[in-house]
Amino acid sequence: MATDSDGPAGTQQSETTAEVGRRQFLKRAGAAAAAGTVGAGVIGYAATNKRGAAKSLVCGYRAGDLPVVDPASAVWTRRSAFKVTMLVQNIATPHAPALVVPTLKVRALHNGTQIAFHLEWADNSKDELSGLARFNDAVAVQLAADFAKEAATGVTMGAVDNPVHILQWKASWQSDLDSGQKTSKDIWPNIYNDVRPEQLMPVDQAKSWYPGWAVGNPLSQRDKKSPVEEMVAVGFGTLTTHKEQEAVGKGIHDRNRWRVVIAMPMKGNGANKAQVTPGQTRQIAFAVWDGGEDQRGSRKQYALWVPMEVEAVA
Amino acid sequence: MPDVFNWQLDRPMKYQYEEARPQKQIAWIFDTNKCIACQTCTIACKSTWTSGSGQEYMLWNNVETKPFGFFPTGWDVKLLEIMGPDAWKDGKFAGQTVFESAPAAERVKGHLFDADHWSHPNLGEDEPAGEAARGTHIDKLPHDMWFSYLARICNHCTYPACLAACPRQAIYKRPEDGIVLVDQERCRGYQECASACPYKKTMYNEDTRVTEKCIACYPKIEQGLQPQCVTSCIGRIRLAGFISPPGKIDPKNPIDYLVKVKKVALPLYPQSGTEPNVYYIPPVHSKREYLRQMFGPGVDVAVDTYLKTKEDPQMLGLFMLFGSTERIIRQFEVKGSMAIGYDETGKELVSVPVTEPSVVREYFDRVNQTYVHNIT
Ligand code: SF4
Ligand code: SF4
Repeated sequence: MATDSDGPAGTQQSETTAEVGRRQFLKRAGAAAAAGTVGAGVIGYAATNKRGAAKSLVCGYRAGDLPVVDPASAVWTRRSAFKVTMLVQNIATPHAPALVVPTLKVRALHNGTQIAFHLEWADNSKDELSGLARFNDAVAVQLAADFAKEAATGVTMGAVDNPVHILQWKASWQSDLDSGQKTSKDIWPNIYNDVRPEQLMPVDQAKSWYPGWAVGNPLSQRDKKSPVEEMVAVGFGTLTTHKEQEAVGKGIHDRNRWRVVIAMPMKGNGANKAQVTPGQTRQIAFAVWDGGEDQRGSRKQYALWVPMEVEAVA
Repeated sequence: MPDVFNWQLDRPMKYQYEEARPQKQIAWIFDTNKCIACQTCTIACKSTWTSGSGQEYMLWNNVETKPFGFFPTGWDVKLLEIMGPDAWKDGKFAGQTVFESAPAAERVKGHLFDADHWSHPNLGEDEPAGEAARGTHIDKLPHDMWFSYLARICNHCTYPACLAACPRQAIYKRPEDGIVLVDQERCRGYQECASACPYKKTMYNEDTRVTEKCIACYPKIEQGLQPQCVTSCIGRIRLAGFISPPGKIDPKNPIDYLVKVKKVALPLYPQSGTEPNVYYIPPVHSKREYLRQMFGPGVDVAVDTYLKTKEDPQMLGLFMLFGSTERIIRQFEVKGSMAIGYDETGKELVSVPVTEPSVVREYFDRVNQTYVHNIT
């Protein structure tokens, strides 16, 4: 269960409950459809601006290496955070029953070649194992894959002609990287395995006892280099792992909160990766999962598009 | 949600997707009366498909004792709790399926079992429904005291709840044979299918972090062979084949004959709405109310028909073909004293005597100068 001692931030929009969030969303969607505009992203952005409450998220320029694997670095903590109001995802079934992460604090930096996001939220349980009926915490950022089509790109994970680039950090992957690949043995320390296939034969052969691993499912792979997965989506249910994995990051859990950095090249390789140019203002969106509350997949908190000013290189 | 037709409920129902019946629908007959719970089927399946790490707890095939056995623990009790009391009216289901009763936030009314429920596959094994007092005789049907075995696999449902629930469409039903599979590449381990399946037949692998399920031994099906659990069955209780779509009956097709002509084999908890494709011949000695709860309103006809098998050479002959060949029998006939199974081209696969020859041995063995005991 997540709690936030700061209370609702209201910087992006004032309503915080799921019901209000959904009704507002649909109302705006209806209004936008009547006005002939397209895409939920536009709707969120326009409404936010009308209220006049939103300040843009500023992605500051900082020369040299960014603290991409140190969420506790003073470079991050000295920077003031932009508070994003999270909404329970209740547009597509299935939904989480309730909003448990109402606010996400976001900081962003770039150095001209790499862009990094520092994401912080309250969560008093560290859920890093994924098992039977057991889910891990996670956070994601989303950008329109094509800047030129950004205004028409829906916050609801894009559409066929308007793909989105999603970077998801997973507590389970972080745990694999920090202290070794987790298996059923870590979830159930007293489990009895007579012998594991990989103890009997070379890994390449042993893989055939692990169907997901053998067919190349990214979740089943054991040679992780990063806790962040880069993906492309063209609407709900279409999330697909990108062939080019270039993102890095790190998450730490302390004092009942997660602090996570997700970083990517500003000019990533491969199709459908958001290319970010200094001086731009871009829309960015977020999602958070509380595994301890059985959140996974579509059972999540999401945010409407937030404008992000990417500082020019000084 | 689109309207689809569910013949087991005898009415249209709501489902996540449009009705799209496969060209052929795989189906099984399980004769519960012959099952001895030897678990050979369970082991045949396990050693073929789930001997890896992360699969230890997986029993794509399991055999449980009714009424007190279940795997996972309490799956059927929980299903009945979710579905509410039985609501059949003149053979039509008047209640709500797991799709129709889904809350607004869900696609299917389900629930997710934790590891505890998956830890006791032989709970309640061989436990009868009552306590035997000293001197109890079990001498009439249905028995006052009873238990029976229920062999279970994925039902490769016509309207799979697992498939409906997956927000990624990582589960698909093959158009060529109706087999329901989890795409091991696309699954992201959300376990929505595990929550949705009324029969609890999708299982999460903690080592690959994706979900797996019974694959109906599709590499065998593709070669015209019956699955491992069928061909290994000691009790010869099983037959796999293809069922004709609603409104069509081929009386020479063994599955159609038993399900649609004789109506002796029934789906398990049809009120779920998934149109499961394992058809059970109910255990005739078990309590009728319990059987009606399990198999729906067709139970009385099924039991009465089964008890008259002796008088029905067609049905008797077909039962003799169970476990007689590894190949899928597409057509059968009983000619005189022989039952014959054919493949899809009409080629004979096997022929068996409707009545097996029997020999009555003399009580006293003259050669060895000893009395012989009948041990079976
Ligand atoms: S029995 Fe369960 S897992 Fe199998 S097809 Fe039906 S709903 Fe899916
Ligand atoms: S092999 Fe046949 S008789 Fe033995 S438990 Fe399985 S279904 Fe029953």
